Amino acid sequence: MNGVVKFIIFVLAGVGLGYFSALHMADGGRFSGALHAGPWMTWPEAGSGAGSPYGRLHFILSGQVPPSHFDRIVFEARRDDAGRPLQGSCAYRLEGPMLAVRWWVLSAYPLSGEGGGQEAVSELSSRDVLHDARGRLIIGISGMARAGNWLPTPGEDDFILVLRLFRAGAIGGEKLYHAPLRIIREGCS
Amino acid sequence: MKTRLFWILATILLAVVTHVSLVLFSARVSLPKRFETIMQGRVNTFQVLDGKALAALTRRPLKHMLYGGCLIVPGAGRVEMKTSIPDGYWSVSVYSEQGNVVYTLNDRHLGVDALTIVFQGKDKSQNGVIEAPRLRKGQLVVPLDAARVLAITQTYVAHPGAYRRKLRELKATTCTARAQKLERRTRSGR
Repeated sequence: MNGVVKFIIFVLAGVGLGYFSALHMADGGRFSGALHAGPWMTWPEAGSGAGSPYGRLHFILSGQVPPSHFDRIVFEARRDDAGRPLQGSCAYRLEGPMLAVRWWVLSAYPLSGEGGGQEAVSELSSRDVLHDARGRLIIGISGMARAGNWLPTPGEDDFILVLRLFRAGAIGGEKLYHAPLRIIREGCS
Repeated sequence: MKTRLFWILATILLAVVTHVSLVLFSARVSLPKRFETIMQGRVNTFQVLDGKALAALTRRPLKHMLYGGCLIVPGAGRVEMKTSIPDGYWSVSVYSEQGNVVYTLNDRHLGVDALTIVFQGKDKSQNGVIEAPRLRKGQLVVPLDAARVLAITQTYVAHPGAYRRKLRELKATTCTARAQKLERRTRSGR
């Protein structure tokens, strides 16, 4: 193998390895500083110099400025509790007690063609929902309308759920390790 | 054998350099340009963000949130942001070009219904010491350690009937640059 070919392989391998390892870490890989809570993932203090640099990279790569950690905590989920991707053709049930925060917003964004603006977002806030007698929250996610708390899927393709918790006071520590809501797949069409 | 070891080590070194560069410099390289896109090149001017400007700020906007922004370039002077604080959720977050949130305030922090935030530029007399934000004569003074920052305001529209009113309130927000001379004249006039 001559020197030029060796050099090209060296550059491709080195740059590729560095690039994809950074993407992996920005996607919440082990030791990246992301907190995983069931299917949910969050980056504590992504908007501060004290936070993980991978958190900042995560938001930059997904086309966002990092959220203000003084004001809110942002959880993301791309998979259900069983580890399957969230699909627009499936119905899901989210359930559990919600953390005590000032208010929250649950949004669903299509993974393909992100950037459809505010019209492409499917959204439900704490002001729109009813809790059951035990204070638990149950939210249905599906393409077809259903009774109770319902969040429409944002299309037929895979989607991501984003839960924004707006602080009333400090939230943090071990509470972040508990999944805010379970994501249970009920069936697919 | 030695040649193979050399190429393996060189590849690992290049991978580390690529990885670290991407992590450390992606925000510094992309955010200044993105700030320009968000504000369409305007500085010290407040504007409501929608369409392309909003897409440059975030590809995951909240459906019922109204966004506004002001690219603050105080120079050696200051920039005043005058805003009313509506009922319901409202916040202002100030971003540096490195992607750090340097200051955040929401409707619950001060308990007032109107506010003037004074972004104070770097002053040579500060000797590199940046003071903490403080309330002074009803104005919130935020000393800056950066030449340019982006202030983003967010107002949540809890129900559709409030949309027009909230938009009107957001549009009434202003950003105005003030020269340092005025500040000095005020100080000497006391």
